[in-house]
Amino acid sequence: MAALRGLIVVALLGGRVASAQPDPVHGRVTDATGKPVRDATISIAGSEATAKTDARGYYTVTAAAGTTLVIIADGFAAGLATAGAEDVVVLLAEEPASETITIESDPPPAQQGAVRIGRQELQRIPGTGNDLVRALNAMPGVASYPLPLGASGVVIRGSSPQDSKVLIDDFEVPALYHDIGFKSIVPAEAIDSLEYVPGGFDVAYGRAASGIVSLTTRPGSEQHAQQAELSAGDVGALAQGSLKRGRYMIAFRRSTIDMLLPALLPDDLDLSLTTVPRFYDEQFRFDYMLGKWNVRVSSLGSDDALELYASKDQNADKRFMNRTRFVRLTTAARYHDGPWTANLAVSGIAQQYTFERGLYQHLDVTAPALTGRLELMRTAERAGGLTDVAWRLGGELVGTRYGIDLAMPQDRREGEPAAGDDPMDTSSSYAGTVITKNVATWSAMAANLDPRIRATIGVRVDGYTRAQDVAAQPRGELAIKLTPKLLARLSAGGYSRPPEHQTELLETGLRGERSTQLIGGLAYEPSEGVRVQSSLYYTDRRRMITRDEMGVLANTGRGKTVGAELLGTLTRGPWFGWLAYAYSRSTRVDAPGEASRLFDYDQPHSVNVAGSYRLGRWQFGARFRLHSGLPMTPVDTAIFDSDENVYIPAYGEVNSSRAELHHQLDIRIDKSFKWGAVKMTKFIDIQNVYLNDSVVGYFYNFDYTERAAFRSLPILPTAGLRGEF
Amino acid sequence: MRAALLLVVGCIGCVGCVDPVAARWQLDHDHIVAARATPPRVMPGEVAILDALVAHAGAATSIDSPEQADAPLAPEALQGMVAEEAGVWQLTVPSAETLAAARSELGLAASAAIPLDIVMQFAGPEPMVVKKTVWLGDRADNPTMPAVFADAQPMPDELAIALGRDVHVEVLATGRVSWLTSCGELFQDDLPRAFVRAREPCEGELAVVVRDDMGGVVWQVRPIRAQ
Repeated sequence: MAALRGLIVVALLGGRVASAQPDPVHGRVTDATGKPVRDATISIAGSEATAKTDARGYYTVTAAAGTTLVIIADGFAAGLATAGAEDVVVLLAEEPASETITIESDPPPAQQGAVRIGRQELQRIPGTGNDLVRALNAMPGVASYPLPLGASGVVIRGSSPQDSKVLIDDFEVPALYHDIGFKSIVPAEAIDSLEYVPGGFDVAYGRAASGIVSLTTRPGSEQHAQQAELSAGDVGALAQGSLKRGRYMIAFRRSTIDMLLPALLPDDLDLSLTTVPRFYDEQFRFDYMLGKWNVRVSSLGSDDALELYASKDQNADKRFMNRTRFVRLTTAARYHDGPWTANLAVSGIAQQYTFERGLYQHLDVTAPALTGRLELMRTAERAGGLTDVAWRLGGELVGTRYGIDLAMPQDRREGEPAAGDDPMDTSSSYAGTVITKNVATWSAMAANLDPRIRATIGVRVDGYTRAQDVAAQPRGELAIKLTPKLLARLSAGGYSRPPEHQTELLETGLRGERSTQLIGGLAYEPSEGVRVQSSLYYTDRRRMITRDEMGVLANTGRGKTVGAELLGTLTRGPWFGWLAYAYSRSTRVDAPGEASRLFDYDQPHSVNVAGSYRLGRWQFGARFRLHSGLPMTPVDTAIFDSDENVYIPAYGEVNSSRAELHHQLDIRIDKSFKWGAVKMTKFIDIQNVYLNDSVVGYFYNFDYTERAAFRSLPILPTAGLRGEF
Repeated sequence: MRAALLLVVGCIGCVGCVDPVAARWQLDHDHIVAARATPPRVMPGEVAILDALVAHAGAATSIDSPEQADAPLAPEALQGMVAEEAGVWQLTVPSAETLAAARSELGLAASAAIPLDIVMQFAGPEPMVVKKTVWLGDRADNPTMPAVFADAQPMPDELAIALGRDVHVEVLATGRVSWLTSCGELFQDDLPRAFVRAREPCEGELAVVVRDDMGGVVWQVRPIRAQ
């Protein structure tokens, strides 16, 4: 078989070379059961260039449309595919089975309702300002708002931002966006793919009660290449290539707004910028083959800073300073031999958040953390009357040492209206160290009960040692192939997050929040490049951490979310299409006996329709979005506290009013051209082209007698230029 | 906090637009500038007079007596202390024995001053409600008005400023300061040293309010004209 494989390779590599312009081609390699095949080698006919599949079986090669691709992986027969359409999937029959190659559209995502899209597709969604992570708000189930919401910036299926996890290369990062300009911390060119899992995620993921957003950085290519990009707000560069048996990718980016802003601010503005808002970020990744080990060393860092005085005189009590920075270093190794696979990883992060306001309020948190993770997987064709059996066992330990120096007003909890602004309020004070050690172990088994039915059952146990809390979370899924093109899935599971959000860290009596998710749905793939998936879900939340009447945090809240989602995608020839609709209703009960209220980010309706068409060197795209406004709590009246010189609002029913419906049209045009040896791409991305400045919220004046509408920007153009050489 | 920062920065200029509303320093807006008890700390048997500096839209400020006043959260021993007499609302502090009973009811130390929240309502297009804390069983007067300057010169009886020029106004106070005006714009209005700027000719008032840590308050209101 190996000799035959070699013969095929030699024959094909000596074959014809497509005359069309080479372009990045994405695809995925799976085995006959749909499981990803990692480290498969993709060779391009007529070229010496090769590429490897990643942990999820995805690959990217640069090849002209029509070029033949050869796929080789240990334990499998060689496979063939044709470059051209994106998302080509090559199913390889295991040796010594037939060498039949089946080409289909994208395989079913790992979980019902999940979406995974590569960089090329992300770049075709208009309205992101060329920031691919902002394509997240085109996903069904993600709340749309002009600003990133909460700590992570992402609200998924009616849950608080801290209930979901943001992972980059499988490890958590403290924030997905820079503070300034809402740019994501990973530039477009350093992203390989974005995976959005709104619920029902695998036992390997934990400490999250809602969903997962997982970004995968781009592994370096076999060929040396450099890119530079200048766009509104930042400038960046990326270099990639191979070194012996390894491949590297290194990228760096810096904001440019700090260079422009001083010139743009009017002279009569009562403002003094001492550290103009600026950010840096870096990404590094080195993948190396060492026998049967695939080793990856990576680094990801971000640094945001801003210091200003809200006065020309630079009075100390008008000072405002913020710095957010972190660097994460990860070493991961994967071993694969026959039925055995092992994944090991060690990752450390150093992070600091500093905030100072005036003479009294400050917050300085350092949180170095170390994570160790191990997962073993054993596969078997048959076992106990089941077929295609996969069993996994994993464990993880995360230790974090928080150094906290805090003198701030009480942090606002979800559902609480904003407090009046008092720069002297330091009612929440603490100075000391908090250490958390979170351990987890999980096991799962997946098997075919029948050629059409695949079941996955597992359990994850999280131990939050500081909270003295153990969360056992059984999870399972049943996937039934109703027809060759129609798949039904039903999943149920328990999820939890530790009590470590903001001042939860300062309490010792809190336990982790819990949720139970039920998800059912259908996935229909009528033809290659076309997929329609729909989901119904119900999430029940318990032990939610709320503040009682005495201002003490306690696990007294409950919540539930019901929703429905629909996503249709088209990737065919020059066309790319995207249709997403989500309905949800998310409510909370803050304490037993209290009335149910709407969740702060409840967004009943959200529609995203996008289309893109390639015509030669041009690409044209448009996107229409429509979504409900977020709930608001009105102010009925206010009492003036004369001694404190502050108005104390009396709020109406929590979240009893709502901002208005918003809709907008975004367009994007790309054009590529050659400039000497450099391949250039210029783009313009214009958001809200028909100037719909809807009200997205309100600010009250000092005595709450007037409210100011906070409107979305009527139009926001972003332009940029990228060079590849 | 990070979310709050994102909101702040977003509002500075990256995302949205905000409609204008009345700022805290604007006198040309119906609101209570400061409520006053004279004195703010009162011994048994003494009387404290209640009034306030009130700003009006389209009119000069006034020092008004409340329409209504009460101490709704007062302990039982201190009920009925606030009353109107000849159009003036005042608080009459009961005997030392009554105060001792109130301290006991509130769990305060034997010699501690008793904080009593007075809620007053003033007339306006919409009723305006203010809370003022008066301290019983202690003695302090409202502070005297510190020296006030305009461009380093003693504040004149009427301040005249040139259009487009920043005029620094300063009060030599250690307490909390609030500047307000109904002519031009004020910057750094909560600092002892502020500045005022007018883009168009106007006439109005410039007020400065100083609050001390004993519950005392004092203010000065002067005419201002920009030309």
